[in-house]
Amino acid sequence: MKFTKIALSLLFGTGVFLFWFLVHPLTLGFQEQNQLFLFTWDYLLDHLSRAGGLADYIAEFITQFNCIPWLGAALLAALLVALQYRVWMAGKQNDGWYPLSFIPSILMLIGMGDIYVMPSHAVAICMALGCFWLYRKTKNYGLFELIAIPALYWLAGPAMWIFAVLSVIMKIAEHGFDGRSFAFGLAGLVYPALLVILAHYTLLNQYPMKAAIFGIGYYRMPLVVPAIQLVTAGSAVLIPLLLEALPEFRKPVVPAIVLTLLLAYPTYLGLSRSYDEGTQQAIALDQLVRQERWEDAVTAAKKYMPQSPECYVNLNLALCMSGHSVDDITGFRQCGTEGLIMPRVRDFISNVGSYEVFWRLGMVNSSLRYAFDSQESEMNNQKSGRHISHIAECHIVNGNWQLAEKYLDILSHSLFYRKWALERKAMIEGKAEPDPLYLYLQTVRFKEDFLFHYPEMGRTLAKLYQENNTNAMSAWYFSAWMTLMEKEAQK
Amino acid sequence: MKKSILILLSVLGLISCSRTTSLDPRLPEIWPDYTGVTVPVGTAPLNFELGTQYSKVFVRVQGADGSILKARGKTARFSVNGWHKLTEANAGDSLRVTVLGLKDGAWTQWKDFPIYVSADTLEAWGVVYRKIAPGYETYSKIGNYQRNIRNFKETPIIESTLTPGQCVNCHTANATNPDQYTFHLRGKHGGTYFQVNGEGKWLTTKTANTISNAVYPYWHPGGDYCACSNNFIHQSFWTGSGRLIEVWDDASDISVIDVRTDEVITSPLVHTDWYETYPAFSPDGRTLYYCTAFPEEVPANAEKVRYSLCSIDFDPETGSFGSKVDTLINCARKGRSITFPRPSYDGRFILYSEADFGCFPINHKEADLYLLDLSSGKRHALAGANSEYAESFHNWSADSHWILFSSRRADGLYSLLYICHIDEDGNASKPFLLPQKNPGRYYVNSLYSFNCPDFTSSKVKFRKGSTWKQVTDPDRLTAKDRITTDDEEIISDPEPADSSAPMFMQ
Repeated sequence: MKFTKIALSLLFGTGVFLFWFLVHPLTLGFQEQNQLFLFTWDYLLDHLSRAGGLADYIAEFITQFNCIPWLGAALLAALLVALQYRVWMAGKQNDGWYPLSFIPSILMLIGMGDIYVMPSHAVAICMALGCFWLYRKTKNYGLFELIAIPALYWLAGPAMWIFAVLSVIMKIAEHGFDGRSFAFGLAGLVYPALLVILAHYTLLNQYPMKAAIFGIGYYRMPLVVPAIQLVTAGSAVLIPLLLEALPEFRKPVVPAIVLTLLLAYPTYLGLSRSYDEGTQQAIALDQLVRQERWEDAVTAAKKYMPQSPECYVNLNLALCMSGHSVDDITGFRQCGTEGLIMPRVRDFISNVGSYEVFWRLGMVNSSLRYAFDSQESEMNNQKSGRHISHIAECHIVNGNWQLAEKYLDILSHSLFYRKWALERKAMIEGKAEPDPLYLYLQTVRFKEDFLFHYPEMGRTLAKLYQENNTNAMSAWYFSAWMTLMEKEAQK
Repeated sequence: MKKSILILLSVLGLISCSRTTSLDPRLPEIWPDYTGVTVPVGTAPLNFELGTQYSKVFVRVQGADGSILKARGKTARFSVNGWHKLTEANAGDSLRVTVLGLKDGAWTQWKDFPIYVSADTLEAWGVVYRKIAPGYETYSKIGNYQRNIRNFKETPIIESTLTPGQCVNCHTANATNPDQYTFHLRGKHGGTYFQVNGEGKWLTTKTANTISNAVYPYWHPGGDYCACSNNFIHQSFWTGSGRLIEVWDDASDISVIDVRTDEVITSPLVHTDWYETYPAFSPDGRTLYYCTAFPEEVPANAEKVRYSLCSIDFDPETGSFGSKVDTLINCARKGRSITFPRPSYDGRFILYSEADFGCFPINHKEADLYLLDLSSGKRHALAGANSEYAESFHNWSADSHWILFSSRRADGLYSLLYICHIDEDGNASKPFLLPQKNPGRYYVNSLYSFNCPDFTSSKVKFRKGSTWKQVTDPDRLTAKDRITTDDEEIISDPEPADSSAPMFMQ
């Protein structure tokens, strides 16, 4: 059975790896771009200053590797296998029921179809179950709980309850349901509840009670607790208990295989429903633009006709950059002039494509504004490696080198933006040749300073071309703008 | 063996002797630049650093009384108690600072520089300020913070994590006394929080007679009223490389809230088609200063909008405005724009921002601080305090000897807080950046601007426990208009006969 268990875990891990690497590799990059992991004490201390901060920190450490898709996929697979293993180790190791230990990991994978679900929750559950495994090995239960519960709450967040509930039930199961067990059980639940309340009124007094109870970093949107988060946490309690309670099989291999097959179909159903096609397509186009894979973006859009303006912003940019004529934009459904450059929207996704357009057009300040606002729209107050890099570039082109250096210094503390940042810093210091794109953008930008007004975007594009008739992209965009205006007028 | 040891010691001695200290006749390039600044007694020490190329720094600070304080290490960090003793012993005199830096195994000593210790004490427990990304229209984490001026302890009063999705606006105490303060939240559950003697309330301040919720507040010294502007604020964005943002009002008026009754008091004289904004009461509470401008078409003519400084009487007994407006500085003629008037608490001066145009000077590189002497009517730029970048968001200490303001001089975008001494003649000393334990780590890695600063006479107390519940309470208190005979005028005659030249602007 040992071989079967290893094989099943490997199979699951491989499945998760292939799912991310082959089916949703671009989503990995999207998750990475919405954070900036820094190797600084301040970054660590900032995380440790809130409940669940260590789980967030570990999850962000893992997520930074998403910019290498195979590595990001492998680390996510490893995380979910680790979760499965911790669930298995938390219960009685009843081999025939081994596949049940995959359920929390499967639920977590399904939950990740919601791009707001953070891997921090998986890390936190691993920490809670790991703590429970240690607890079972200890002799002084009371002392262990007294220390572990506050420590776990602070480091992993409310996933601490998984440990608290499991330890109470295990004690009752071991000693029977008598008055003493009841008192200990009650104390085991009241103690963490009091700690959470105390934390809310002291160390977490800058968070609402709901955040103290349900977690700060498990979900990207504050004060929202998706059902899948509760179900996954519940399964991490229930499965170890089931493993304890269910009867043993004499020959565990066959039931293990049958159970695996039984889990496969619901897993497939869950995954196909939770990964919304529209969202994934928007993310894919955004990432293809980020990687300047223009033809791939056009091909992807042909396969799945885009629906939203943000998708069209990326598609039309790809059409322009890959040398398509303006007439080619009518080969797609389009959704008005907003599909060329969007008005500013207060979220962290919609304006990213537009800032890429502004940047290449030479409208550096508008690009800077959209990038800054995209970053500030991150609901979990994270900074973004992609956006900060872009903000630094805008300041370089604007000649605000002192400001650019500030951002480059921050990026130099990261793993994957460091080299890029140091190269830019060398450019500023005159130790390296300037990027030709920056020089080009300085020549094709507006000569006259005036206030940007989105409703006059058509005229703005015309003015941009009039001032710089080498700026072919502005001519393309002006022409596209007029084409889509006419198309709207004909409706 | 002994011979070998002697040879080794001789070689080491020669090496150490060859480490001479070179003298540099220039001032050291320290950050923050504390050379020649004037400080009050008893603030946090002025820690600083040399460039990263220096592996060690040694600093010796000698008072005129002979007492000495030293610091050595990667950065110059002084003992808090030692600094307090040194400044106390040298009040009204100066300190001489000697700096040595170690680079590539060689020490350099620069020209000594002075730090002046003012004889005027700074009557404040600390400072309050808002930290916000200097962005455009969106914010992630922002908050109001307080900082003990005697040490480095910073604590949040309220952070946006407590009220997700709402913007936290500036904290305003009554003449630095935080027993009475107010701040706003913006967003879906926006409102104004008033705290008077420990009792707090959330109030929706938009009424039938006002165009918006309260925006820029200022307490009446008696504590019964809080003046505020009501603004439709818009932003737009420059396309060139020099300027980034322009903030303007599409409309703005002035009102006064009676915090005892939650009534909003208005007057047709501060409720015209012109823009009226930035109210501030005089220390005796009988005059309300504010800024006003002709409503040009914006954004097309944004660069023509210029605010003048005006005043109107206010009667605290009846809670009513006077019947005429005085123009203190007419900026339409001077081609400049005045904003943020802040009367000194001794009634001698008005400190304000002056820029080429507009109502939001922090985004104007040319914006500087000016002082109007109310006894002589003369105004002058605070040359000692100003820089080539924007200065704004200023306030006085309770004793009217010190000012606190935001400046973008560090890098052109991120506003940091500076404290500056104002002498009897209204001249400013060289300001010093709010000290930090490790200024490089604190400021350089920070992605926040510090704005709306004010001194505070004691620690601000704010009950956070049920804030989110109170903010989202659908039955929250709403301000109501005070019914006066003037109200009919406001409603029936919204446009003056000649909006281009109202009487009080002549």
